[in-house]
Amino acid sequence: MNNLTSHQRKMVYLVGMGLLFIPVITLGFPAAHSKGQSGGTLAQMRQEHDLGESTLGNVDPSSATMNLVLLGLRGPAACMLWVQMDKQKDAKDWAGMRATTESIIKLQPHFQKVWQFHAWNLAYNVSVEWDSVKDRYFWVKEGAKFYRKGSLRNEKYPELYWYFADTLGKKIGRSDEWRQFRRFFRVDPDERFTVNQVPGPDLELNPKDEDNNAVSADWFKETNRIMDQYGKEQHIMDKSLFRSYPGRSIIDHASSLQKEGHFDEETREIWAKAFQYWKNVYGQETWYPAPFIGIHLAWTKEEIQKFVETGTLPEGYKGGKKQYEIDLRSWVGRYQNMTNYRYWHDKCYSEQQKNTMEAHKELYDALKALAEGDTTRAEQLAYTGLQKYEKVIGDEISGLGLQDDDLAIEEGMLGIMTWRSALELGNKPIPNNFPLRTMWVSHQNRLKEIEAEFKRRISPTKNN
Amino acid sequence: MSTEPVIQIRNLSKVYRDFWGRKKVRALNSLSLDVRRGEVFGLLGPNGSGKTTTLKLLLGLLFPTEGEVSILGKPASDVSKNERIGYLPEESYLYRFLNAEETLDFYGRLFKMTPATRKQRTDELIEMVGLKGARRRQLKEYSKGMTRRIGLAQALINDPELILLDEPTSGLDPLGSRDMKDLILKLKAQGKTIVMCSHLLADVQDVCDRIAILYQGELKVLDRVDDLLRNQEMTQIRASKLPPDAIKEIEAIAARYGAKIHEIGQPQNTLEELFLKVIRDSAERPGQRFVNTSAS
Amino acid sequence: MNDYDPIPFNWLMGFQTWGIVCGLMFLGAVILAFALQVLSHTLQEFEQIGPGKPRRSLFQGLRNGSAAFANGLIEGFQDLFWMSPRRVGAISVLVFRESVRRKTLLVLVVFAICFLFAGWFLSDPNRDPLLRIPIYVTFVLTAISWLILPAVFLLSCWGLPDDIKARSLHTVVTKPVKRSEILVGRILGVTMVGTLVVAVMSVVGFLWLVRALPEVSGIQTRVPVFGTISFLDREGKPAKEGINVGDINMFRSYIEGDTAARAIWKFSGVSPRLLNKDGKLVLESKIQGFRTHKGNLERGIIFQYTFVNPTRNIRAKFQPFEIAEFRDSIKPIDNDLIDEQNHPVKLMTDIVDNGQLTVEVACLSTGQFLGMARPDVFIRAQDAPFAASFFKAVLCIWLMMFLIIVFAVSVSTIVKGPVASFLTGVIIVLGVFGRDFMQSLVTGEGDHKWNGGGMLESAYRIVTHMNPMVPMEKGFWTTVVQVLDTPMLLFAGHSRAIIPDFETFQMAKFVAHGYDVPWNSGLLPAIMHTLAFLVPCVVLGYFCLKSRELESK
Repeated sequence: MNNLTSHQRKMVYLVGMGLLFIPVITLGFPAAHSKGQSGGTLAQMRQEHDLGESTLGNVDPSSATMNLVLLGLRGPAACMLWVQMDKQKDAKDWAGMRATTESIIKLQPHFQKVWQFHAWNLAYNVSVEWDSVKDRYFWVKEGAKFYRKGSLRNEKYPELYWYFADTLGKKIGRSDEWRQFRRFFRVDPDERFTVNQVPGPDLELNPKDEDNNAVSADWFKETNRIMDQYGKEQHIMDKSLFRSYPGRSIIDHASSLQKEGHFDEETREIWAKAFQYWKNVYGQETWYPAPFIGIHLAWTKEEIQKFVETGTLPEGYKGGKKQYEIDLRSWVGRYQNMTNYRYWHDKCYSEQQKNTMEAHKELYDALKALAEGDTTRAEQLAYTGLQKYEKVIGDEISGLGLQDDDLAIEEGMLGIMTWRSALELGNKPIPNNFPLRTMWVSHQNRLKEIEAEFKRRISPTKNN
Repeated sequence: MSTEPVIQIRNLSKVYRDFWGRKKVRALNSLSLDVRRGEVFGLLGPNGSGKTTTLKLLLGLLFPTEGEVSILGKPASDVSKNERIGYLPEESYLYRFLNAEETLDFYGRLFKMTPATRKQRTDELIEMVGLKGARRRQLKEYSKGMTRRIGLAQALINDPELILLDEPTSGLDPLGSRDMKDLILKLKAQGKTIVMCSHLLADVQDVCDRIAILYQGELKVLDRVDDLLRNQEMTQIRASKLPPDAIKEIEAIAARYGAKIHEIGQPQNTLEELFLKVIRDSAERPGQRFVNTSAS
Repeated sequence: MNDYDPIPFNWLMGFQTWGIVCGLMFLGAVILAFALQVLSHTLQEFEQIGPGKPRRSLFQGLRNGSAAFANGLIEGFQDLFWMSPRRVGAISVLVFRESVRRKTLLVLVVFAICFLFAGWFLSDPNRDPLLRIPIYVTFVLTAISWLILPAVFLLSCWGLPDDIKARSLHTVVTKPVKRSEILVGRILGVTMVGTLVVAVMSVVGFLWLVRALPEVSGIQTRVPVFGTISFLDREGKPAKEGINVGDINMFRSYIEGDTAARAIWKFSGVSPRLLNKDGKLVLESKIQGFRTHKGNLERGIIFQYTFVNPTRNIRAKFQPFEIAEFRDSIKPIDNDLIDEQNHPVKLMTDIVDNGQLTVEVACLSTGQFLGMARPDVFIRAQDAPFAASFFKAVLCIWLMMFLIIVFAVSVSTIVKGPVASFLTGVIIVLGVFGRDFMQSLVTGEGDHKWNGGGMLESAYRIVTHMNPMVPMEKGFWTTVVQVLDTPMLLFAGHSRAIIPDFETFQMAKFVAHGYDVPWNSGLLPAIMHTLAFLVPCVVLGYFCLKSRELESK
């Protein structure tokens, strides 16, 4: 059957092996480093489908080693580590838990949900377990840094960038401890960030010593840029909302400053910046909600009309120009509603006005004066403040959106309460007519709730 | 040579069993024999006849199924008897990662010896077995013959009274064999008792005083070598200057008695002939056993 | 030492359990050996005498068997008690040489590689030292134990079987060497190798630690003196424990702020010996807080110590302070205190009563809670250097290694290499991962609580599909089943003690968190644990080796 000698047989094997190597070599040729070379098919495919480590983000050598050493046991190992992490969390072994988290992430470096889960865990769940706000802040930072690291490992995907920016903005700027956190963001309580006896920010998160919302806004912008550059989808929310976050962060920046009692030019400038971004960047993005339809959020009725009249109908669109205009208007309306575009547009416009800022400042100072017992000053400030505020609300361009805004109403009502309390405390009668009387009358149903807030603000903080 | 027994074996049997305790082989069957002080005793037999089993039973490496062994007046299970015994295993089962010096030093430490004696003994023995050039080399680099020599050296480390040698010349070249046999005779001259088992008949014939032939676990022959090899049915006349007439006359006498003279002269049998005869007889008449009247 | 309650070694209970388990084990072994001897002798007689007289062969067998058994036993104990140090030494040096020449020391290379790349896997260098020290210290100690174990494990499981297989042991046993000397020599030989490796590893590990964490060389480890804890509820009545605030971790129980609820610690043996160099008594706490409302975020929850002499009814308050969760809260207490009636009192003479100090802890923040467990407040005696604590932990790793060597070598006297490895491996895995599970299996408490009775009862429930929560109907058979189950559970409970508890040897929990390795609840239990296994292992291993025909394969 087989008349080959042993020597001949070996030669046949050798040739066979050589032949098999050809496809292996051609397919597995490493990715080309210089331009003009395409690299092997596998390398190309890996690049095309984002399967290579280096195409996903920077490569952590330890993570790669660990995955290699574990061979096929990565799954079970990751599973065990997760269980361990959970146990350590229950036992409040934070150092151990932190280390385990680090190991998990070495095993699952390109699993975005894993990054997100652990970062969230650190910033939200672990931080609240600590009693001291300084300690809480440390863990919020740990979580934020974790997101940052995750985004570096997966640098083409916008989600972890978004969460990073979101933590800097929302967790630091809006949690219960926001006053302390925002302060710590500029002046870190950790002694290691004290340079020349001047305490400074954690440079890893805040290299330029800026407001947390400003940093957050920059990172949201970066998120959008990454999205545009690599065209990767995000799965957090609708894209039209997702893209608004840089603008929202700038708005948060300005509002936070106001909440802290800064009613100055700087705040107004930030509102102006917010308005600019909202109208000229976010408002000018093009959306394609349906076939043949391309819209901008900033479009007004007139702009749509002009666009339809001057332009041509898209090819294949069934229906006339009239219908097209109706379609566009309806979609713009829907998108504006969904993103609350008009409200924020009006708000930003209104807040950058000098008058508005003065109204805010006077109402704020009035409340402060009342809390300090200076009823005369409170009464005066409140009254002038209310007068100015009435103008703001009544403004033709921006006032429409604010008339139904809960916060705007609350501010007005608080102003009226301040004024009335100041009068009462000064044993003066309360006149029947006063600025914003319509608001006072029509929102009596919210009186109780706003009164509670009023009391909270004027009474000195009672603690522990 | 005294008749004082150094080894007394009584009714010794060994049955190998399998894992479940079922009988597999009866390796030794009711063996009884004595070894006397100062003699060279040979255990002969084909492969699987029970020679090595006997040695191992003597050393306590195996436990007897029945019967008793007394060696230097102590039971085989008593390790203190080993103080006065030297044993050369069939193949030298030594630690291959040690060198010659370390080997002898290690075994020396197992005996009650002062460090000085140990050192001296080690040097002497290395010299004696001719491994002086290789004393620092690990045993795994040794040739078969060298391993044999170092094996012998370790057997003699304690200057034993009784030496048990399992196939002492196997693996040695003729020159080595000669040396080994000379050494055995030298040890005998020093008054040591030696028990060796072998299937190299010439070696046994050369050095043994008495031999026992085992076949299938049974003792077939036990006697002095020269007695055993004397051919009883033949007569050898050995004379000097015997004239042809005298030879004729002798032939005539023989003829008168009905005998025929093939050749004047009485040859010694070789041990080989005896051995083969014993084995053949045993195979024809199984169950016949040598009964040692003096021992029982 | 997060949430770990160091329980002092209980001599009585330890010896009792050990005595019962070892006693039962030896009894079993003795009965088995005796029965085997009698049986084999009877069979022998039966063969010799012939099948005609069974009674005579039985009698003879019993007589000879008992004699052989008694001889063996006497001889065995002689062998175990009189061993020649010279021969044991020779064998252990041989084993050491063997291991070294088999390149066991390569494990040090693996160790070196581990440390070369450790930086990659450990957390960022700029992280809070509070979080870094535990991780680094645990890493070093874990690396030492996990690298040394497989090395000695293989050496001890395969050494003796290989020696027998290669017949090199035959030559040894033809010398005047007792089997006990072979066993002990081998144990010591492997231990020598292990000791060398552990020594090198621990010194290198320590130096690495000092280099990676420069703060380590400066730190001192605390030497805590723990007391006992009791609680008063919010009305001031004695309570078994505080309030459960719904934390998953049940280690601590809580007292409510601004009520009469108290946690009371009693420390005994308080003497000037415990004072620091300024003559102050240092109290350290790691109390945790639980807020029911935000309160003042800028300040921690406030608590207060009150020092009490219950006999003379003296109460002295210490100034209140904030808790520092997950950090060390160290308060040196002055000897001069003011009691509640504003009289000056001396802490060491007026408050400390016969060496006993009573400290009440109260939470002063209204509506907030403080969580406490026994080890949360302790007297901090003079600190010990970090190195001392580290090397004590290494000593415990060494003890664990020794225990595994003893166990593995003893097992390898009777079974071959693969089986010995498997057996020892199973013991290690069970001892490391399975102890808690087994504990709760036999006691019905802990993480794996069970319902539905013992073995027979649960078997009955399985067959009849009976819910484990439903009680068994009262009746004769239920009683029988339950009565039979009790000794079975008791047996299972004691069998569990055969598996060593490797947790006893893990001292990283102390060292990593800056505690000295205590004698009473750290070193002593580890030493006793090792000794407890050493004795039966060596005895059983010896008898196994002795009864073994080395030649038969």
